[in-house]
Amino acid sequence: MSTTKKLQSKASRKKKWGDITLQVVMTIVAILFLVPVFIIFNYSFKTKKELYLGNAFALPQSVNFDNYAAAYKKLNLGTTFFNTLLYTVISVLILALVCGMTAWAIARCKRRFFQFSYIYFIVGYLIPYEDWSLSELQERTALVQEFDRLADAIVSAGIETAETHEVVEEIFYEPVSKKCFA
Amino acid sequence: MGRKKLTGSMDRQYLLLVLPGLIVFTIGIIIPMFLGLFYSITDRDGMSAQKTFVGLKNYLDLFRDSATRDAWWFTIRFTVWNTILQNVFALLFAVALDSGIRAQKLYRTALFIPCLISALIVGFIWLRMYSNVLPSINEMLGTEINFLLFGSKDTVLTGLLIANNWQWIGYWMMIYLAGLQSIPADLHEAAKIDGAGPVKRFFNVTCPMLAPSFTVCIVGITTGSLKVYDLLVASTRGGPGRASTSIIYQTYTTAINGRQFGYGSAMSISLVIVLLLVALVQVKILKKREIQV
Repeated sequence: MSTTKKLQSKASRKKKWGDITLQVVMTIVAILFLVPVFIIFNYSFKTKKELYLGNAFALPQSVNFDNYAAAYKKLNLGTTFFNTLLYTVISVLILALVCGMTAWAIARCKRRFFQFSYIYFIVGYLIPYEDWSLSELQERTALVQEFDRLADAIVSAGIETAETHEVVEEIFYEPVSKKCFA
Repeated sequence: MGRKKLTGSMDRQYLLLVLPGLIVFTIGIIIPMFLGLFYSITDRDGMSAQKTFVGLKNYLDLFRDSATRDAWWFTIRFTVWNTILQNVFALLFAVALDSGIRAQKLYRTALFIPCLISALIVGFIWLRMYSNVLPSINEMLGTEINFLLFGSKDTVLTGLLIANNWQWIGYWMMIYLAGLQSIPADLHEAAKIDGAGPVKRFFNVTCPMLAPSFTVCIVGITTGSLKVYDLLVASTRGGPGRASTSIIYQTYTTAINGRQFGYGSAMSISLVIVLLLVALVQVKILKKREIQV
């Protein structure tokens, strides 16, 4: 009820200068906010040559979907999109159910256990979630270890060379032919 | 009401409702956190099976390490600026949109779209913007403004603030909008009858009624900016040198690339403690100002 009252009183006001400037300002802000999105959209239709050589704001020469086809292939978009969809739908269902139950119970029951569990959950939200998959971690560690081994080998070879060799100065006498007065 | 045992079928049902959430939460978050706590007092290097206990050496090293101190300093500056800028602008835009201009839904959508993009993509977009798109304005207009904000350690914070704020202002603006629209119009009308101008009304009617939205926004923005990572990975990778390394970025590079799992866990735990303290302080201060309508 109070919202309809509010709308009427605002729309029936006479348009003042303040309203017009606000409108203009918000339009400019909205355009500025959308510029990066439009530019990326623009980029998605450009060929590589146009990207590097042309002006960033220029419209693409022709609308070709080559970039989209390449992205589809590289991302394997069919499978990955389906996976993401599955993951999202199931997560949302579970979250809606479990969070709804839990929030209702915490809000309705004033016992200490529930106050404590409220704080318990909030603490969890604050923790940044780090999901390292074990295989990825192993690969990266193996790479770094390999690099370390190579670096060690190079350094030890250098040290060996420096230890077993010496810098020696040698004086050469070169025969030089000189003209003699005949 | 003293501490009662959970007797009675009603209490049992309440408990049953909370249990699934508690179980999943404990397995998913609390146990790994305690594992991390355990690792933080060891010397583990990620893959080898040996774990030598080093006690609190990791935590002491945290204070002596200048890289970690720089990371903390950057994260704190980023958080403070973010909190101020995002709150102020989100509130301003929400008030502007709520004051009866036309095409309100259009502006709301336009400002909200950037927060649907993941932070990784936002970093990617702004890297291209600063290096390719904006300098081409220089070519078109013949000016010579320096747009390479990610190139020097003095301007990299500004560049990241612009990118992050671009993404998130719309989101917090929606929360303030919802809060604004839940203020009963009678209060505004009563204030108008009493002769209060718009500015006075804003500070004395709107702001107190918006206190719950303030709590949500301030706590959310602070914890979100303390956890910044994806944005940095996609755009500056720690900045020129180490100028834009956040504490989480430092944790990742130490734990994975530097293979100092134990030390990284100690950094992680210290971040959790700081987050807890910050959130607790904020919630305590802000909740006092809330009025229940």
